[in-house]
Amino acid sequence: MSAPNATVNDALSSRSDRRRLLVRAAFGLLALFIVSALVGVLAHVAEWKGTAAFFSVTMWISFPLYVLSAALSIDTGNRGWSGRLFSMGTFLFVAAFVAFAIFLVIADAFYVNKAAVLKVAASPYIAHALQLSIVTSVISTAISMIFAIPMGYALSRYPFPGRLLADTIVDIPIVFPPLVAGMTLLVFFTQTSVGRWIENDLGLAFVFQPRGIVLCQFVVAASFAIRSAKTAFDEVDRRLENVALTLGCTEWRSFLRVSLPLARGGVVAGAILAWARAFGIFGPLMIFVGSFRGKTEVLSTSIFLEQSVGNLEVALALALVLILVAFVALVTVRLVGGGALVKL
Amino acid sequence: MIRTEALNYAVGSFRLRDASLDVADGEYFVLLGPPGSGKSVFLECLCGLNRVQAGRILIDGTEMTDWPPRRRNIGYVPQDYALFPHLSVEQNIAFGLRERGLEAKRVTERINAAAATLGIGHLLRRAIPGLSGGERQRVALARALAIEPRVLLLDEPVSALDESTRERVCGELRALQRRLGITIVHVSHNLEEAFSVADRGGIMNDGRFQQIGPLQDLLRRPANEFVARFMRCENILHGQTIGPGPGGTVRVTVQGQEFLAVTQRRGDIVFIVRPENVRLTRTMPSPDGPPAAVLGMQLVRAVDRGAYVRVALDGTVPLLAHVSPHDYAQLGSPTSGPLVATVASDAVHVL
Repeated sequence: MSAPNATVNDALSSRSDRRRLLVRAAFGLLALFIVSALVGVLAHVAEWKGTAAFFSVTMWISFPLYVLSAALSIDTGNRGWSGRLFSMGTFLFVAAFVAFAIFLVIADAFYVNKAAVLKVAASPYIAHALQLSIVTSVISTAISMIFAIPMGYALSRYPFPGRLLADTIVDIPIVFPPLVAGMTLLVFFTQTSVGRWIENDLGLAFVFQPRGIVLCQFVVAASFAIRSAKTAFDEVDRRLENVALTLGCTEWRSFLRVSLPLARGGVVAGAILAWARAFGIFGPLMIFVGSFRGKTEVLSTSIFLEQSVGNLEVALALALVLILVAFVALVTVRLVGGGALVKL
Repeated sequence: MIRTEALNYAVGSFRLRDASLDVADGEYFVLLGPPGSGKSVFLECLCGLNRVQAGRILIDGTEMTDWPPRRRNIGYVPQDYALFPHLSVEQNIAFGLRERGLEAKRVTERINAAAATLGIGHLLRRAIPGLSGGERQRVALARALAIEPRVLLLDEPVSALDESTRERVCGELRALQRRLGITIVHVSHNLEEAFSVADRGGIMNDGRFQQIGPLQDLLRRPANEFVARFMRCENILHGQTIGPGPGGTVRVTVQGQEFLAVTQRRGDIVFIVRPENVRLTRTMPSPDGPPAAVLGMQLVRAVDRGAYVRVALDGTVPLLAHVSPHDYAQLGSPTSGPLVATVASDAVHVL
């Protein structure tokens, strides 16, 4: 009795051992790839040619090996060759997309030189632009959320007359080119009496002002937050709100204690989308607020300006800063906000 | 006590029509009806979640027709329990207490009391996902009871449980109601469940109460054909009275087959014979006892249900009989040849 059992157990453990080995190998190769990419880029910028060449070679070797081991490490149970082919097929699309994105960034990084990096690091204007980018995008995201949470709830819950129209209008800024937002804002504040009244008589100037950056970002980004919040509230079971009412809540309390906490994932996801959009746009800013050094210049507009005057190295160095900030922000939110990004 | 007077409420194509109901203090009332008949809508009107268009709702003599749900102090357990998935068991039970601004010590006392009543003290720290159906049901009950409600409304409280758990939980619900002396309205579409918890019930169809009364009345004296069918009386017969019979009865003919009934009605009538009131023998019964109709029958199919044998019979009029296993054995097996079905006049209920 014990002998066949032992064989079965051995077979089982050798199979799972093989898988564990592949998983470890994949993680190791991925780590090697990331380290060699980072060191390679740094070495390139520091102009240590030999080191850069060495690490770019290890980078090029480690990535395909990672893809192979990761694809083989996927457990396909007893689904045989067709199951293996299927899982590898789908995984290869993931690998191809991720590789494309990473190599684009690395290509940028290899184009950047020491002079550009030093220029970026030393420029007070660029430090100001980065700071302004972060501050304005955070403010416009906050304003977007102030609108998105009640709007998402109203659009989700109340079948008011004109809801379809309102729902469609919410989506329009997602579809039209951001540049158009800048044009329409400029026309509104300079060519209409209401706009001119706000701009001149009320003393609330937006055109060519940092305040205008926030307004532009809000116009192009709020839709993402609203759409996402509405979807999140759609998924909250109304019966939970009903029970909260019978347990003694007012509508306000039931919203704060039940609906909002349950919609949190989608609401946070909407905030991330809105922030990402607000942080990255430059088209409407160029038209509505311009890009004045030390006043209305943000990271995205300085990239555009640097490349338009031929400073491609500087523009790419700035782009790397932009990517780094975005990446850090997304990872932070993923760590803090739990499953929020899954909903994106 | 709960009193509703001619409640009317319309939503979409559904209408609740003139729903009037009285439930006494400390009564366990069961609200029966097929799916979509308006039972849940009626409960939601009681809770104040639906605003009625006409009629009045009084609880303990206080009119609260237009009160918001939070003022009514009604314990409500909706279908599938609607527990707050982002809160722990303890926080779920505490939900209504926190809303009342009770001091922390009182909240803890009440949580512990509710948890002890339902035997879920060991679950307090658990999260909602991962609880079994029975555990969820107890938590939902504890949450509703913690606010010390005037009445408890349960919408299909055991439908989500498996068959064996359901019967035990029904017994527990009944015991809980007795112990706390609380008024319960329990919505169900299941007859066995209704009989195991309640004494009195109402049957609803298409937004209207069809009949309200003791369950035994609904079973033996249904008000109309719908109630008879819902209570699974399968012998529903259409006939005409043809004159007086023996012992003050009336002769009724159904497709040429005569029955004896006690009724004032004349002409076309609908009557029921409960399957358990059809007696089956091999030979003609003795003529003493109440006047009875005697029918010659052939057995079509017999299904042993354990407590009784369900026998489908064919004759001039097809009938269904439930006979005890003992009586069935007396008929002799295998069963073939002619059988005699006896339907006493007091087993005939005219609708």
